[in-house]
Amino acid sequence: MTAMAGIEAGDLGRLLPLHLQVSDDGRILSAGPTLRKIIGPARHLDAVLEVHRPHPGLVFPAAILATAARSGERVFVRLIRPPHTMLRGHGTLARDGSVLLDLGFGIGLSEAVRHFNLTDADFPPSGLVMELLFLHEANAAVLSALSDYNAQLDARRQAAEDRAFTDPLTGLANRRGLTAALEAAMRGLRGQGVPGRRGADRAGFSLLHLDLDGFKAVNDTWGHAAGDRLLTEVAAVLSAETRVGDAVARPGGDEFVLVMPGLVAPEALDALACRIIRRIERPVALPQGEARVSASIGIAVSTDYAGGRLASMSEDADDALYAAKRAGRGRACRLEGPLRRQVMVEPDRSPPPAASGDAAVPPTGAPEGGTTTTAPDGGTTTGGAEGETKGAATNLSAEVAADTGTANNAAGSSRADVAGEAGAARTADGKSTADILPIAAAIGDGTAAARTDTGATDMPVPSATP
Amino acid sequence: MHGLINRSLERFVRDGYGDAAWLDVAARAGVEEGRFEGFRSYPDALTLRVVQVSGERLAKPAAELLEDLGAWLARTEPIRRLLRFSGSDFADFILALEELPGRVGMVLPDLALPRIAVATTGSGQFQVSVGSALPEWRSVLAGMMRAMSDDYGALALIIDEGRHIAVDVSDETFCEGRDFDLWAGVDSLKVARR
Repeated sequence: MTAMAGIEAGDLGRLLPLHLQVSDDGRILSAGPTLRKIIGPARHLDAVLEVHRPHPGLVFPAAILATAARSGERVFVRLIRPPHTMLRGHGTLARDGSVLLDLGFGIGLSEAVRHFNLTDADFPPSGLVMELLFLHEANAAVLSALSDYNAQLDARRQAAEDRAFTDPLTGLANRRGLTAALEAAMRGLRGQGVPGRRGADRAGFSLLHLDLDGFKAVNDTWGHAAGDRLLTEVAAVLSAETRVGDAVARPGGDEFVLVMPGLVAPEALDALACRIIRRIERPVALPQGEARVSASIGIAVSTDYAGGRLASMSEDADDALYAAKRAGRGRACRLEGPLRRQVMVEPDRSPPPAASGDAAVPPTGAPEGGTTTTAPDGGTTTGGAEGETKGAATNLSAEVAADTGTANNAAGSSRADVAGEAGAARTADGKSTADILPIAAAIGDGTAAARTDTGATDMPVPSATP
Repeated sequence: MHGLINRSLERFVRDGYGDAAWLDVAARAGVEEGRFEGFRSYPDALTLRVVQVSGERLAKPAAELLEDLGAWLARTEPIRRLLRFSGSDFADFILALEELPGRVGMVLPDLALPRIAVATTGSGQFQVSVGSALPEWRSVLAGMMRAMSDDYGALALIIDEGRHIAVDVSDETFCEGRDFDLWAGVDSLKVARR
């Protein structure tokens, strides 16, 4: 079929492999070889293609193509059968009233190439089909390489960040990590905490500054390696005594800081401090011998601070820590109320009856009256794991260091027995109570500031886990 | 040199000679952390040092090693496909080498491949020259061209004559070339996206 004046159909097909010539009544007069791969052997326009644009309305499709050809408007035709490939192009009107369209693929090119299994030879060299496919593929390859690279960078950044916030010796947070934890805790107070934890965060947080007593002696006598071992042991104690959401930091030397969201109750804090001190006081076996240290703790609670004053919390906790040191070490000083009243708390180091024979050294702060020595559940404390439970249990000596030094029993005497099981589980490592008693000697001036607490509640170690 | 070029070098050594060989090369050449990142830039001197050390370690002249690298690149499927987009037969491919740096530049503008010039010296005969002071490029290109002549199934003589690479395509359809379906890439992209 001769398509155009002077050009054979075959030549037209080679020149325009995607052309379509339609008579004014819709018969397909000529179609390029590539277009034939798409429309098949159809003989009539209406059998294979629908005119998408210009919108035909009620007009005969072939007529709208003629109109578009006359006006130079773009034409969009779509395959009636799946995959409903859209072809776009423009046309010109022949003398015989037929329309010659040159069609091409738009953005659906890749899809059509795949579906109709087209090759380089199916496209005219004037087109940019190969370039487009090349770009499509090259782009994807580069993006994939880039996203691998990004994933690696991300992992490295995370690792670097972890390193930057971690103390390499103990694995605890370092000073930077501590700052971040404090900021997070303060954000929590302003109601921007972790979703789902908002309640606990809003309840406030406590800050415990801890400093080892007697560490320098170990470090100086037995060397840094021994000191490092000891610091690692202390870090393990602190990690064991804290919850998942708490931050434990070693900002430097033998100082440790605990940030404990939601933990603000005085009894719970005192119990925690005493438990930590007792556990740190357990001798640590080192190649050179047993190292015995203790710890002093300063405690501040965010609920005692009006909004803008939070910044001084760390400083106050530090002051409290040194107050605890001045008061004889091996104890905690908790600041209470807006006036930061100092409440001294000291663990009970009195031996349980079963083990009392071994206690050669008088325990620090053991009350003269001996009211604390009798455990309420006396009969069961017969050494081993059970004895340890008792050892870890805490007698609280409370002191209001305000002015007169009047003993204040209230704080210590009203504590409730809430966590017997947890306490036992934590300490059931079979160590004898006697092991943890003689630290007082190492600390030296430990007994001086101790005020009796007749309450002696054989503190049942409220678990730190709320 | 672009990180992707260095990374290709690393992958080539790892692939052909094992991770231990690469780590040895990297340590001797002073490659940071024993690996190259794809999207960083490295000093040319480091790249050249890696080439030199690799040659020593693998007991191969540098030029031979680089030709192997070029062939290895051309056999790497995504790269092979991208190269095949350049021409429908091998002679076509050789002529289109002039466009190669431009094509690469469209996707990786900072890769900075040297200019490639192709002169036709007779029927199926070409001289390919590389516009770079580094002869290393020519070795890589020669190796790549050899691998691509196999890929197209063409019989061609490819000789690095120093100033240029001489190509003599004696039989365009010497044996069956490897498949190149335009759409295979489209499909693999879909899989990758999933």
